[in-house]
Amino acid sequence: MLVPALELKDVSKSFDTNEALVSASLSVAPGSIHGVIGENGAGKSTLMQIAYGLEQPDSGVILIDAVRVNLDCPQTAINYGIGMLHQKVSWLDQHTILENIVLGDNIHSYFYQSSIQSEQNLLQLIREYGFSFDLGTKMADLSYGQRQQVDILRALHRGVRVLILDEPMALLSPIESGHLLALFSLLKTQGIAVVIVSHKLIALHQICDIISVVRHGRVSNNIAPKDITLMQLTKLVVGREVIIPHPSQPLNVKRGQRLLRINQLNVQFHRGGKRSKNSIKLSNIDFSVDSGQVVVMVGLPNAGQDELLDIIAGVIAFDSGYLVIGDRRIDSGARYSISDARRNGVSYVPNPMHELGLVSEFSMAESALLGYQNIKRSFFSGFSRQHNFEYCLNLMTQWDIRPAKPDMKSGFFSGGNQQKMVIAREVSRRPTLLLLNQPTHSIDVGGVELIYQHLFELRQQGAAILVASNDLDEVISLADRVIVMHQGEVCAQLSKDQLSKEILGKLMLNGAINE
Amino acid sequence: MNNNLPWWFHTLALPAVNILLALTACAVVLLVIDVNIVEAARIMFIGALGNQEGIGYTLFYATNFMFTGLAVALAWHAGLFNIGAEGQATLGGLGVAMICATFGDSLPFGLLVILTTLSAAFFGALWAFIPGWLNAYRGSHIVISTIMFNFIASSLLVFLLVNVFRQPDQMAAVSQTFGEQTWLPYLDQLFKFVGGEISRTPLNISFLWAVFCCFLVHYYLFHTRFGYETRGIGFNHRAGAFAGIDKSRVIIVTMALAGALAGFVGLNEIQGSSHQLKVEFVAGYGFAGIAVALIGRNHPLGIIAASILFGALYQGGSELAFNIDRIGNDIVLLIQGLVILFCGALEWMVKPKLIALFSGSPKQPVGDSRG
Amino acid sequence: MAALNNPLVTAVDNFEQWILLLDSTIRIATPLLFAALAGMLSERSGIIDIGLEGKMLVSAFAGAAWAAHSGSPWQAVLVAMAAAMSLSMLHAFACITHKGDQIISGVAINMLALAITAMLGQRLIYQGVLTDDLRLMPLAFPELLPHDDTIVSLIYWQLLSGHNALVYFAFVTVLLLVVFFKFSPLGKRLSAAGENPLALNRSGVSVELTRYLSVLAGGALCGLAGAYLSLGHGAGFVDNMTVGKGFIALAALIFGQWRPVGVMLSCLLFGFLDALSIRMQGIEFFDSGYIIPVQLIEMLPYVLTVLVLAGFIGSSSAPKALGVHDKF
Repeated sequence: MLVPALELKDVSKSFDTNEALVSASLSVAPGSIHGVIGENGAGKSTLMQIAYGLEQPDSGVILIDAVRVNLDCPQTAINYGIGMLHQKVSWLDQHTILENIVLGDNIHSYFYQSSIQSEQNLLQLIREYGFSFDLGTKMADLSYGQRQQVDILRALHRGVRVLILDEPMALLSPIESGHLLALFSLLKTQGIAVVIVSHKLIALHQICDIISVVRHGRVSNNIAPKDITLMQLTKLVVGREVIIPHPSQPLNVKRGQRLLRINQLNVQFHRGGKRSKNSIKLSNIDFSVDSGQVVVMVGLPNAGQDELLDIIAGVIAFDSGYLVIGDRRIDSGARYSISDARRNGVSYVPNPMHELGLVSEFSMAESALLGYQNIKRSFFSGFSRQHNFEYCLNLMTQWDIRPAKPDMKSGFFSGGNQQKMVIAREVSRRPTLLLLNQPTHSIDVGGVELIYQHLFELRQQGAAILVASNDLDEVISLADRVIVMHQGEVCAQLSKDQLSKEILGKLMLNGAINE
Repeated sequence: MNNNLPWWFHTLALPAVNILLALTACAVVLLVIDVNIVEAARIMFIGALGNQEGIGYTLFYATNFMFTGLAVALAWHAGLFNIGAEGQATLGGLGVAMICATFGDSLPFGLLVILTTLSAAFFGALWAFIPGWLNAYRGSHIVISTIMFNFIASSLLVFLLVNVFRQPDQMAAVSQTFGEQTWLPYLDQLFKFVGGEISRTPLNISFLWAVFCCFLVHYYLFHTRFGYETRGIGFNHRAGAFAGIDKSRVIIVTMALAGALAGFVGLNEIQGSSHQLKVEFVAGYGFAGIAVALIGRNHPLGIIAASILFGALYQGGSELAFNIDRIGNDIVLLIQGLVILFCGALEWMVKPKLIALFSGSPKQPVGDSRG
Repeated sequence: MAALNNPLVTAVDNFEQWILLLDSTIRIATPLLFAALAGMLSERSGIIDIGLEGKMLVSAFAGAAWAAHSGSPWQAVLVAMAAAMSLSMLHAFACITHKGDQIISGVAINMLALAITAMLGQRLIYQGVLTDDLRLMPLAFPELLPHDDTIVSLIYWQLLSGHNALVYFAFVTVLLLVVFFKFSPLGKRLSAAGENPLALNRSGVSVELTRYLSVLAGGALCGLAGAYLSLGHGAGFVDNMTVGKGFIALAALIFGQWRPVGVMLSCLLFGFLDALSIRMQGIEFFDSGYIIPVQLIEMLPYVLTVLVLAGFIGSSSAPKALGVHDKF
């Protein structure tokens, strides 16, 4: 048995009065890919934050190469060879890769330091691992996947030996994940341990050498994926069997009623100022969604899906072309706001929901009214608190949102329950066109099941549903039709029977099936 | 995380602990300058609440604090830090003085009061509307522009006093004293009217107007859709945008309303008490409004209580300065500063410990603490 | 008010008058410059500093008190710096450690400074004027240039020489800060803390520590501003002697777009306006019967700042994470 590269023993941690970790232990072998899996709120993030020195445990010990260490801050952890790739990558966009990486170098003098040594080391690493970028490139000009690779490069530059990745696949296409996987096996050969924290069971089941399940603050199992089926793993994580519903039965509604038509839509946005090279363009977007249909848009991050949803919902404007929603035509430059959209029967669930869909300081009853505060309220009638309370309580029962206390502040609910409330609110308004952006991102399996049921029910009633999703499993279980976006254009439309992950992956990455 | 705290935690316990901390720190300063703090506390208490006159002055000051406290709190609910109540009050006073100087002799009192009230509101609102507009449409930082507008207001006031309002025979930069027919009725006059009797203090009917404004703002914030939209923008403007709330409109309307409230200080100070325009008639009430809003937890009804508390501190502090020559009026400023420090800036130093103390809830596993 | 001794008319004619005006511009601009650079250090790292006024006041008081007590003006300068840094420490403790509101903390510091200096001021013996040996005296190097009638000599004697050491140091500081931000690792981290603290955090550098350092360094500079007021420009401490200079410095910081050289130029501009308004008290404008209203000149720095802030003059380029509490 090898000496573990990183070991956490009997670690406990509470926040205020809540226990996040109860005597949890984790042992990571060098040169292995170690999955840490659990539902939202199970404690897996806390565990990793302790390993990276961001949080200090209330009790328990941390060992690196069997030597007890005290990780009081990330800098210490980094010096011990622990690296962490956060879910949210952040860089100084106007600076080069080199400048960004040397920013965190250990400094000997606050006032002058040469970066030549670092530069040579980085060049060597780039050759060794086959990274495909140049140190002089501006951060802003890199794609999401490349930015993540720079993160790995930085960790290597600092001599990482245990690399922790927080939800690395959440935003990546299968192809980019593929690159990541190749890189992982290269790391393995160097004896570097890779710890992947995720709630994506399928992916972890495929790539990990060993999996630890975190549940209610306890690390319960160390399993080799080859010894266990996906179904069994699911049961370990959720605590019960889960069946994701599929819309198998044919629809009762008559098709053909066109509820959304997008005609030759064009728009250009500038991020980070007008002079930035990094602009997103939507060009010649042209498709439609009919009643009783679930259409799913897929694409790499920043391929334009978010912006397109915002445009349809009236949040941002477009340059040319037109939209038809129901029987209303909206030309570019026309006055069309999100309130107009709502009056036209459009509901929108933006991403991230807990930030854009809720006001965490509002009571849930107040949040349940957000976006519909002007409906059926005359100038002086004020708010009927009683009415709001009952409305919210009703939603909470239907959608199993717990605790069922409409007076509790929205922010006090768990992330999954907040997300359910946002979707519940929008679905409950019986929209004719429902727009959703990443509806189940970071929701656990049990919640996904419930959301899908409600969406299919709405579809059954004849609504048109347009979803943006990066989760290919979700795409395949939800979609009647798939629209693939690539660099701001629709590069393919696929019907349900044409779907496969390989085809989707190629289209997302290259915009075409043949390279 | 913690919703099982008793209701009185945020409204009573937290402010009380903060005030205690501030008073303790203040006592330390008094000890340093060699003042008997028991004696000082007695003088302050008797001076502020021990007799009719003290109470009258306490409530008179409380009137100003209510107006400026509301001006800060209302803006806070829209996510704006209105540090410009000082300047807005200055402009409000200017508005009152202009009406009194122009129409004081010609208009019947009822009409004059309506005009001065509107004028105070209009000029106060104007001085807050401009920073509001600049914030909404030009992205100016509201704090910096309201600070700048405070200074512009005070220069403007001096300019107008020197060049427009000053009487030819006067050396000091003050306006004429407005005729008695323009004065707001003192509260003892009202009492006499219904048969009671209290002693004459500057306390006048604008006190009642201030209390009424508190209730009005409460209704506006918590029982109308405008208030709902205001709070929505204040807490999370991005979610507000997705809810179809016009952020710019909320900012501009809220700032204008806040400015109007601050402007009413002019009613109390000029039409109610001094009856003439002076250079520094606002005397820091605008900044004190920040402390009042903090202690009142930005709640319009909490502001009534906080204003009376500060009125008492102000009046008690003046008595202290009058009685002990080592102490100047600065004692009031010291207490204000300490309250703002402990209640505002160091809010999160005290709060978590108190929460842990008051919530004896059973431990329950709740996980990921990622922000 | 005859035209005879109208300084404006004479000023236009008389070169020497202009030089004197510029000379007082430099004297007035120096404390503004120290304070504005102090604010710049703090704000470039993301911490709003509206407590400049209070810190100047406390350090002016502490400096004067220590000079009277110890008899050494240079010790007094150090004490002034320490006094301002202790308030900076309070600000940092509230805003960085406890994530308190930066503006509220600044307001509190200003109020406390005003109250405490006034209260303690009445108790201290030194009251009143400091004698010359307790002050920072003007430096002059007569051997450099003879005192004669040439223009060069005039400029040297009236404008360039004869200031105390802090004046020269203020302008040297500008240069040092330019180099600091451009080349030093700490300077880059400091800017990163104000522009994108998340990125700095991701690179493993403590944002908190970086901000503590910059806020404290700001305190030190602010202490120099205060020391200049009570030990150099003035002779001793007077209640509320800063009279809003801290806010003018804040305005200059914004007007100078948070950049060392820009801040210096705007301090000189605001100093010039102030010097001008002092000379124009009650002066008729070219015999036209109009009296130039001094208050309108006094207003100008604030009005200009509002215009800059609104992007009507140039474009406002505040550090992106200024005043934002970051969650990592």
